[in-house]
Amino acid sequence: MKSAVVSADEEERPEVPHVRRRRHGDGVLQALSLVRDPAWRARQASIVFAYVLALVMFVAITIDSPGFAAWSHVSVVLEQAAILGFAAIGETFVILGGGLDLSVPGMMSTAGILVARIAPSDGQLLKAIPVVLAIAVVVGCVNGLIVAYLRAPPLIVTLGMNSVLAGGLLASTQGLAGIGTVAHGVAQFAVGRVGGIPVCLLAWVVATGIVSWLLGRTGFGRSLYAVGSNREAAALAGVRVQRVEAMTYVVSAIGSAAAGIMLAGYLGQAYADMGDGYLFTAITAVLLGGALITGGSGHYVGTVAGALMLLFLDGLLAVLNLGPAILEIAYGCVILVSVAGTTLMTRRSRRGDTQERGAGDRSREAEVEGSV
Amino acid sequence: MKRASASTGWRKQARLISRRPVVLPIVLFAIGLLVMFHLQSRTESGSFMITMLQTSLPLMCVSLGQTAVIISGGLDLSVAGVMSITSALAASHMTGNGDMAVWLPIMFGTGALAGLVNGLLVTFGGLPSFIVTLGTWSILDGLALEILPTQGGSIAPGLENLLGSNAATIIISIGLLAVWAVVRSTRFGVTVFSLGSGEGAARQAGLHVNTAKVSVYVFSALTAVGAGLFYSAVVTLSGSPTAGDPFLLQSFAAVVVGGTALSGGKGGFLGTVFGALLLSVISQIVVFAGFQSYYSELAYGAILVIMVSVYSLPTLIAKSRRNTG
Repeated sequence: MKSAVVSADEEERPEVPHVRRRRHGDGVLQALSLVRDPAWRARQASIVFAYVLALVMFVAITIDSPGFAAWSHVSVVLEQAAILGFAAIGETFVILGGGLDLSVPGMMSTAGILVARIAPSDGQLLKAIPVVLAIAVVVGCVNGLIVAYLRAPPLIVTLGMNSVLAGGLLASTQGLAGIGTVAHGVAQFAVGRVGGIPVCLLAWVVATGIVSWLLGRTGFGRSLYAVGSNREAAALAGVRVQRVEAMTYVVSAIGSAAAGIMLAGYLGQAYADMGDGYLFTAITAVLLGGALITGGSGHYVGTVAGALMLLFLDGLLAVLNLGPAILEIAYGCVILVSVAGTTLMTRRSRRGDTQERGAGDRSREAEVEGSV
Repeated sequence: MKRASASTGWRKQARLISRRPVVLPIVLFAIGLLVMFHLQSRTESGSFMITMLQTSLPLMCVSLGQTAVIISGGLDLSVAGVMSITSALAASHMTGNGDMAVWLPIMFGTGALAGLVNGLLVTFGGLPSFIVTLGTWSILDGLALEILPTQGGSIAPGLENLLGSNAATIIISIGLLAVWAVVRSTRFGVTVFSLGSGEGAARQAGLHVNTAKVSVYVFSALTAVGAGLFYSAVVTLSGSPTAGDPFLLQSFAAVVVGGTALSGGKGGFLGTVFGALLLSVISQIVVFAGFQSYYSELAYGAILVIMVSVYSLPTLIAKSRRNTG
């Protein structure tokens, strides 16, 4: 009861470390102010924690079955992690902005099917990729416009969009019968190697760099954190809230489309429900990476650790001879634990923050609590 | 003293709960019905109507709980998982009539437990309902898959005999409406409505907010168990570990089309009933118009997105007026 009141109260308070960071020109001052910011510390801690956990899992599996750590195996795991990583790019943006995108699986399948349809061989790939991108942008725009401008709940809108995409695909492929093989180039994108390193892993590293730059160094990134922390405050500060929010869904659709193409390449074929497994995992990866489900806190670097962790979890269950049912149960538990953990951690750090900043907020809290 | 005034207050409020006009869903349903009659005249018979009502009963039942949760200001994604695990349990363990006495309580118990976990995490953990229920949905789906790895199995024939008749269909439909009428006029119902309008105000009014918030998820899970049972025992006559998955979107669509506000506090089950009926009319239209049944999934998604937008428009217009005025 008490905690619910506190969180409701704190949602009203602007918490925009990234904007603050920009205003301090001096590097040392900037670093100092960041380190003293408990919310920032909590975020860094949760990302570091995610990597430590991923490492622990990796070591645990390797101790049990040393074959897991062989490069021939690890590289395949990394390929799968890269696909998940791309699917989770958009989910990271959307969750940072305080939304949720459930149309990831639908968009992935759509992209995979379209690439298989339009480009059965390499020659047509130049035509297929722009078409897929265009459709992703349209899907993202529809999601984004309805969520941002009509203020409809993102979960419902994107769930509906997912159903539209999935239904359309099933109808166009006549159920599961319409399995198409993909062009050699698409397959190479997913499973090809450059000097022993998977192409899609290289693509993932590049994408991580671009996303980190977008989040940390651009106006869009800073606006996104502001919107996710406090919509009203961001609007008052002159952020074009609706445009930023809508953009996250476009990014999400494009990321999902890339992931769908990769998945088609990885599987060597495309079918109507190929993306379905990514509904839970994309969200789980973001949450495991320490992002706050209510928005405004988190980073894609954390999501990367989350994606690795999920793949290691997969490996761990395989080592223990546990089936897909247990995996799904584990995903659910991971969602609940990571959300509860991150929320508690952030809440505690913000409470500490409140005490540092003065009695104003506390007295308001006491007022609210007293009336309960 | 505060308590005393509150107890007379909630009775008054029960009468004051806005009687949301359910005109739009009824009109849409009527239009859908006319289109269906036009496409296939044999649908104009009473027996066809009863069959249609029967196939849409599971959706109505699960949407009853979903309506309550949405009115309280939350969302329940785990209904899909609860339906799946019910179907899996029924088809794998409740195969003979004698098993019913044991397994029916177990199923409802499982559902209640899932709802309780949702409710406790949302209420006392302070976590958003959609992510909590997303997590429990995944767990329940996994459990269902563990219990019944593939589609199939059989369900006690006694249940089909009991629930499958035309009379039972009508009685259950009326029963669902009656349950809603009762829920709405109780203190629990009023608390659910005021939770959706503003939790702080509900607390200050002295309502038992926490109890109601937990109970609404238990209620939702129990309706999902009922829906899963009816669906497996009467509609599909077998079990599936993914039986509930399509019902997630459909339950949201039925509630939204029915005019219940996703922001909470406003709405009701009557609209949801017409929303659910509209969905089953649409699926008939898709078939009679010569499209494959896959298109109904597309149509459900489209109608959900469109209706969410339509119901959001008034707020947008009001806001832009305020900005210009």
